[in-house]
Amino acid sequence: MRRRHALKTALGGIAAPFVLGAEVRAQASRDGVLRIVNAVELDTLDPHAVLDTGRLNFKINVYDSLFRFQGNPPKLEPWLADKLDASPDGTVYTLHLKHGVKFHDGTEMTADDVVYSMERMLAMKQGPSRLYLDIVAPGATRAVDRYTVEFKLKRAAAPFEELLAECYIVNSALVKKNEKNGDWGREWMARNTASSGSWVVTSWEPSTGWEADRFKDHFKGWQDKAPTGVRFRTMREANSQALAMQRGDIDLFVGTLSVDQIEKMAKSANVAPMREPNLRLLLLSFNTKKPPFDDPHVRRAFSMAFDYEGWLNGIMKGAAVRATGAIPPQLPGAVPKPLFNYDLKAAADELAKATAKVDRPVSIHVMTGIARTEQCAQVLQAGLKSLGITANIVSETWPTLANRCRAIETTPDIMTIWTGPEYLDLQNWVGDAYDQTRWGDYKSCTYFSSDEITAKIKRAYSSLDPAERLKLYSEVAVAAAEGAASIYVHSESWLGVRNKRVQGFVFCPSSSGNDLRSAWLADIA
Amino acid sequence: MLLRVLSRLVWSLATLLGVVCITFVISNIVPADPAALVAGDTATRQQVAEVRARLGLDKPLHEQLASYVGRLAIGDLGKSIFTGRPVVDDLAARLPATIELAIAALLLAVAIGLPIGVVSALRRGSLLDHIVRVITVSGFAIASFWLAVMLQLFLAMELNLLPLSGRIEVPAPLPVTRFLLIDSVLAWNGRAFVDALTHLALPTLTLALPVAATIVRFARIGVLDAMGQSFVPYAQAMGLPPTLIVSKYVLRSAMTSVVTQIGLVAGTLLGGTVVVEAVFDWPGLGGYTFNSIVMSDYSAILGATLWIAAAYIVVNVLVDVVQATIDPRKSAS
Repeated sequence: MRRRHALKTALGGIAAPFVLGAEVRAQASRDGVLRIVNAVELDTLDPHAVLDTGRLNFKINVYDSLFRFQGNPPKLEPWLADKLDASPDGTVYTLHLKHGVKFHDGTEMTADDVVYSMERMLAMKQGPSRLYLDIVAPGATRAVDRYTVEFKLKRAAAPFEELLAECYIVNSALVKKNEKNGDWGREWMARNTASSGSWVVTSWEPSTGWEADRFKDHFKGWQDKAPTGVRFRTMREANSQALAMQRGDIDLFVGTLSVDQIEKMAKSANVAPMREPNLRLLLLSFNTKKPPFDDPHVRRAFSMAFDYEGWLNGIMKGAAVRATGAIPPQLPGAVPKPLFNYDLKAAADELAKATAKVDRPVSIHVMTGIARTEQCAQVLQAGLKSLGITANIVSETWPTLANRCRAIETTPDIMTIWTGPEYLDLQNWVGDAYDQTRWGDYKSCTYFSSDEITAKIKRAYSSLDPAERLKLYSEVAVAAAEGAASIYVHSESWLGVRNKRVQGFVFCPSSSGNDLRSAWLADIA
Repeated sequence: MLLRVLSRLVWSLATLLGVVCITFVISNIVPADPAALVAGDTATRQQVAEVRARLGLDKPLHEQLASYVGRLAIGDLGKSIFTGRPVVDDLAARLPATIELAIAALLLAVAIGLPIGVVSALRRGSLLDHIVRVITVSGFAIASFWLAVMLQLFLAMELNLLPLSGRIEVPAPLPVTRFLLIDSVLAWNGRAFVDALTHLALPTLTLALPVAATIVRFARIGVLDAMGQSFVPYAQAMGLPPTLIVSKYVLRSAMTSVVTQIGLVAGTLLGGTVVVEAVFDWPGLGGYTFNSIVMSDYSAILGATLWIAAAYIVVNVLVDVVQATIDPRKSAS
């Protein structure tokens, strides 16, 4: 009797955590919080320290910028700004701030905060600073009055208004209070916020993610059934991400997923896949300064060794369209049609014409953990094998790959990169890629350029004539496509998944789906 | 005994210094540039050079090492290049998760492995013994990644008994010790305790089962070895009950090898397990160390390495103490 009683107690004790645990989890899912997967660890809270898609979810939701792209196709709209006036020569911009915008501590945002934010970015020389360093000198930004800011540029810059979408404004009084030894609050801002954005951070731990509550006094107001908070959970493993979506532990996934991962998640009754037009190109870029890729015949041969149709139909399964050049095919100025198709005979003929001989194995560098890049490299590898060329696939983390692009000698033979819509001006896709004064970052890893190309890009950047700009960028894109600077693989749709309780979510290519303001939850009372 | 422990701890400082020097040099030889990684993907060369100077990475290697050792002497492990936080703070945030998981896995492994190993040895040659031996060999062969995913699929997805990943879902209790189970008790927060416990279950099982397989084998071998000693038939001849012979004499003799194995495994677990932490999104030291290596975050790499070395040293000292307690002949020698 006693033994039976003890056994029952023991079994009950073992079962209790499971039963209680299930109830705790069920309750957690009903609390009006939007739960999102964070595939990349958020290692800093400083919006001026980073400029990448992986950490954009934090910036765009916790901070506000002067302008913001909205919708799809993306449209640039004033956000903190009311309007922006430009001088006739395009070197002086006058920004009028919205009145009454509050920081999370209740203080009002003024022109001084904008000036401080710009000066801070220029001083820190990290992240978004590279968008402004060429055109804005330290000390050249001033507050005209409480709500008016004047930017005096070193030279005319046609995309300046778009670049202000990356100008996130910090609470200057709060940051200044926490500066140490003239560090612009770098140390403090890495772990604290001084923001005005839609969400107020309540907890942050790099390894687990961050949480935030809705900022009820946000200047844009809130719609009915807006989430009461957001929770970004760090989940590095693709399998765990898929399972979490299927189980309902996660509401939204906006990262990079393969088509088969989406298909797997979509089998769950509570999950809805999402597919949206995007402006993101996948390229296999050649180091055109490194033999044998300094020979355009070799590059053309390689461009004809890639099975584009097989890739688009068999692996991407219709989630991408053929790219024609450096400009996404949806945008004006794109190269009208692909210049190279899968044709091994023509590829062999090109190789025969080449002065440089492919007499060594070539390396194709891909991003660790991103299956799509590995698959892409394998398709090229298979085509090259038919030509008798050995290609080795080298998997490296993105920081290592990007680091390799600092110098011609360390840049790989071929590497997979994405070019996305950091800003929507053609400078983003063409200028940043083929301006030889920008060599040293991943976007220009082809080193495909010339004095003539650079001059065209510089002229296009400063020109205030949209038609002239379009013509110049288009000519550069055509030159790059004819010179086979890269294998322009595809322009991909964005693939995401949401729990069906999430409604109203609008994907914007510029924010890669990280802007959550439009989303609401169907199960909030 | 006390003198011996103190002497071991003093010598361990020299070991730690050696570990620091070797790790420092190796980290700097690796062809990655942390300044470039901090400056960002699209920074110019000049920006990278400025960041390098700011971080002190442009100084000669021996100067950097001397500076680091000097700061180490006052407990300053430096600052993580990426988080911008003191490495001490990063470790303080991560270690409790690793320690909590390591202790839970060890306790479970011993609870499972020791009795099975003993029974298997006592029933040597029986069907049970054969089954146990087959299972333990399988336990060595199973990849932790596969086991983790299988447990997730079965216990979390199919049966919905346990959470999929993470450390806690409900708001965490106030971080006093940062051990969630302890903090939940201190805060008298039953909801958090239950949630933390169920989140701990899957990673604990994943780590414990292969360790249990090891303990089974060593316990079995130890017991068989002890059973072959002359004192056992003597005790039997004296009429002592079998359970007393096993529990009081045989086990004590058999525990030597088991304790050594536990010590080795404990060191590994306390260093963090990258694979298990990745699958279960467990915010421990393994993932932190891995990210630090990938990002060439020298201070973080050194901090993590120091901890791992210190953990092994402390565990080895503890193993020695336990061994000496079990078998006083070891203390005398």
